[in-house]
Amino acid sequence: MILKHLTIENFRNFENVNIDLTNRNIVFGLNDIGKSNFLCALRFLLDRNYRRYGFLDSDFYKKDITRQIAITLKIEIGDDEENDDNKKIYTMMSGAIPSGAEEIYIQLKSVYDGETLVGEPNLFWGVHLEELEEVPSSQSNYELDKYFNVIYIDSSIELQSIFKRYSKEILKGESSLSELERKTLSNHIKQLNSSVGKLSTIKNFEKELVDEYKKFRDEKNFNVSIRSEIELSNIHSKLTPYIQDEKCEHYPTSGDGRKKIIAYTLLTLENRRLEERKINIFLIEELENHLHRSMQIAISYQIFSDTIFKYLFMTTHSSLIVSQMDDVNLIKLFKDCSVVGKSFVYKVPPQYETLKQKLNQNLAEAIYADVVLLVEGPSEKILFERILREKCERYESYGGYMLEVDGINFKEYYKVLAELGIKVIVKTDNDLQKVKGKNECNKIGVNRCLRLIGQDVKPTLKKIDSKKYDKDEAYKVELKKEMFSKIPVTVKTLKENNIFLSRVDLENDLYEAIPGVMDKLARDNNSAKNGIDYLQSAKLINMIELSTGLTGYGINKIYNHERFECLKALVNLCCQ
Amino acid sequence: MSESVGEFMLPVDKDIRDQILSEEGNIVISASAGTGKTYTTVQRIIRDAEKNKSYQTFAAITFTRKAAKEIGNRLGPNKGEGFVGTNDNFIWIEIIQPFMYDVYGKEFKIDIKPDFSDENQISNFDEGVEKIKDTHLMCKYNNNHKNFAFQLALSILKNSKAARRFMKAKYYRIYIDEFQDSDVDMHNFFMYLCDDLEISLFIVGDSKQSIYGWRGAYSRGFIGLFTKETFKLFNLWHNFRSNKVIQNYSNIFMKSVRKHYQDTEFNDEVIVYKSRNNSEVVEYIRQWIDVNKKCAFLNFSNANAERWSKLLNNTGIPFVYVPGSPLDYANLESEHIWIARAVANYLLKHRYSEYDFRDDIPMPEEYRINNIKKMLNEIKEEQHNYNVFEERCTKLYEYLGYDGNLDKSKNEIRILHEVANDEKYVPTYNQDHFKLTSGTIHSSKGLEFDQVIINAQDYDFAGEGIMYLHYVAISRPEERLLIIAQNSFMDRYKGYINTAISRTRDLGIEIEAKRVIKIIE
Repeated sequence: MILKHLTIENFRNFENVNIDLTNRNIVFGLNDIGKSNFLCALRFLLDRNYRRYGFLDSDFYKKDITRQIAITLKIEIGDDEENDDNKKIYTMMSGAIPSGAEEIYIQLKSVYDGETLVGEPNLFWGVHLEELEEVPSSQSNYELDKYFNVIYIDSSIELQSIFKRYSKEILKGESSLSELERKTLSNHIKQLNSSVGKLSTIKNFEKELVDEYKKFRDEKNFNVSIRSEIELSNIHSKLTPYIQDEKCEHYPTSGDGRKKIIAYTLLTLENRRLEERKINIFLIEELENHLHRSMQIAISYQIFSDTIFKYLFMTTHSSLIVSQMDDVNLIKLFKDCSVVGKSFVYKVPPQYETLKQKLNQNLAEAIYADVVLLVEGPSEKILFERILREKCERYESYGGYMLEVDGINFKEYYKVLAELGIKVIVKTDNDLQKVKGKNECNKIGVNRCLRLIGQDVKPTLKKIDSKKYDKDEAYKVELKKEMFSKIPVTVKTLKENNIFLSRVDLENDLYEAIPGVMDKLARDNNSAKNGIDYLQSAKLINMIELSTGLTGYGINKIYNHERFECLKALVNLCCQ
Repeated sequence: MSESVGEFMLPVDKDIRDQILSEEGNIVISASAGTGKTYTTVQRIIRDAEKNKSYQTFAAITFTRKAAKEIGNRLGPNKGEGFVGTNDNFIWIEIIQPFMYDVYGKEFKIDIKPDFSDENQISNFDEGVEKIKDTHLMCKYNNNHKNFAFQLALSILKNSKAARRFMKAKYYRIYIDEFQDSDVDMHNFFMYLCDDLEISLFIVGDSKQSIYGWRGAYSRGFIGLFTKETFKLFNLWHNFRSNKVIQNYSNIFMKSVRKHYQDTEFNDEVIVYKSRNNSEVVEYIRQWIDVNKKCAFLNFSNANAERWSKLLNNTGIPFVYVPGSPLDYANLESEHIWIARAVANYLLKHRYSEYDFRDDIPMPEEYRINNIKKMLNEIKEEQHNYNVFEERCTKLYEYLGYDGNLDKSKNEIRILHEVANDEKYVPTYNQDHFKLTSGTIHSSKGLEFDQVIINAQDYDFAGEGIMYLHYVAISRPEERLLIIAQNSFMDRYKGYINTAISRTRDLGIEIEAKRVIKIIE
């Protein structure tokens, strides 16, 4: 069974959103964009207890009660008759699914009733959107609810209340205690009750009560006996979980973080038992609250590997929670006149399996931004951050973000971010790569850019002097500059797409803007090299030194220079 | 010998019963009368339900609504999501109604109402399909050895992938009762379920009790299961109902259970009495009978039952004639006949209240008890005035979601009125109230009596199915059996007794007539 698509119409802040789904979905976006409402829509659709009181007028888009609320979920069942969840669907829907059907729809519709002041939810299902049938029901029990189990978890989860619910189960069943255990416990309880009954304060109270009673009615042989009636079934409410540290004594689970994780554990435990009977759908809202970094990462591992979270919708602001994501559907909600959702199924490319942590960590932060500037590495980042601190200090709060790809293909980031509606700016080096055995070079820098915008790549650069290429750095630089000057149209096209190709590389481009500053830096460090070579001899460290030393003059020169237009692009897009 | 543990008698075939509870795969149980078939089935259902942790469920299928209700009651909360109902209802709700359109086209995505009355008859399969399209009613063949509904259900399963995978996904086991009464088409349908869809079947029946051959019952199908490779056979023969003497007597007549004969103390529990005329018979009955215990005089026809009851009453033995109710005739079967029957219960049956009525409603939660009570009272008030009665009954039909103005419904209401206003039917609806009753064998099937009287004249073993009817009758009593035989019928009957005894002897069992029956001539 695969979740395919969700449509929400006229519900709260959604006029009409259409979102592609997979089984695991992560929803993110600015606060108040409607992430909570997104989950609520799913709860109305699939959770009987949530749905039972119907819709209020405030649940209708812009409170327009003349419209109809419609929440529609499309599920693919395909051809696999052995899949357990598919079997549950066949059983649940019976004749509503004809032979050959591969997708089903479940829909909730509601129209506001002005008299009762409530919008009654009505459920439908079937294989054709225009011909859905009513879901069979008796009173408010829909057939649907026998097969779907919605587990809603948010960070306000309270360990005590969940534990209370669960602890009842521990002692409830007939088989939960052996005969001997039951007998022993009963005896102890009897003794306890008897002792309580004999307490002098109880005895005194009995006497007082009798004396008082006799003032109303003097009955012979009248007596009152106060008895303690503690029973096995009361005991569960006195059970409290304690975390045990192997070394230390017990201490109550006071810390919020651990309490939360135990609560989450209880929930998964409880629902694991239902796996065979029902289809568990987890709706998780901002788990990261109150959790330390390491716990967030631990939870991330759990969520993306445990099969109990087979069907999941999670909202989050935390890049740590999604750090272990793989094969998930990223859904970004944002405003574009009205609220829109864009989604992208993210799979860690096989070649990055080992780099997954790094890839995800960067990506996990970038997806929350509205504009992302992709740069080659830390040198660029340091320099640009310095400049932006002067030119647009709060660019990050305007939704901007700078990401160093650092060896990972630009394409991987570009693809994901673009699909999510995030504006991507790229600044990349004009790399050349010699073809082995030939006097040619591949224009990998330019081609990298062209591929990003889906255009044909350029042919190789021919008639290279291979020997010179291998020995002489300056020769390479010249080649690059020459090649660059021959493709003005391409460069312009790329710029229009927010892709900024260096003429050569960062340090060479920088020399065009602030040659004096760079040479001075080298001299001040007693280096015989020129500015470019000096920077490149110890890239990051020297760049840090350069950046820290930049004055307003240097910053302006760089910012206004043609080679560094990417910065203006970032600032402009952010401040829109 | 049965062991006693305090007051509780352990069955001699206890190990078989234990095995039945845990055996996996397809099971067929051949169980004699009174051996606790329903109890065994219910125990197995409960045990399977407890073991089942998945979304799957079971179906318990019976032939009559009454049997279905019995199982439902005994299961109580254990019923869960399982289907408990008649086989007609099962195929209608689970297969025909939902999946017919998948094979025959969209025009069949309609509410098909079950209706088995005689008017709606067809002669071939395609005609039946057409008729459903036109009338939205289920129908039946004019030949009662063929079963259209089941042929249709099987056809749907074979042609609809969706239907097949639905059944396979949903059911982990199907329990079927009284399988000896299945006809050929029902048999084929159930065999498809276990052979092709691999749904485990738990089948119970008694080949000796197949008295519906005239109605198309295919008991050879049931017997064929005994040797079917994919089925495990169990025989239950410990009889909880009758005493040993009665068990012995009934067993020797039937090949399959003859071997269970066990010599036991005989105190005239079984007697055959020859008489020359009715008054002799009546006199003998007077001295034989214990009027403080239940006794049923089982006849072949309503007419005979009535005649005997009059005779006996005239001489002071208070037998009550229990006629079959016209409402119970098979040709009245329809989706809503149960309403008329339940109203008859309300009007005639002692201590049958609006709550019992509500229990008979297929989906009781939708109806308010107060409304039901009010309507039933109104019907009762105008019981005698036909026009108002009809009006109020129609109102009830409509409240329950049926069209009271159809010919069928009107017919039911008319018969209901007849039954409600004819005193002779009071005993029919209050059988358990009367100690001494005179009725037919068919209407006694499943009921229990301390004493039973039958007439040797009724039993010509050469007739089709008569041996089975005989078995049904003689296995009915818990304590004592009296067979009256007038004149030459005695010789014929004695011949049958001798044959039975000699066949038992042939099995190597020591048996004498005087340990089995007392013959009075």
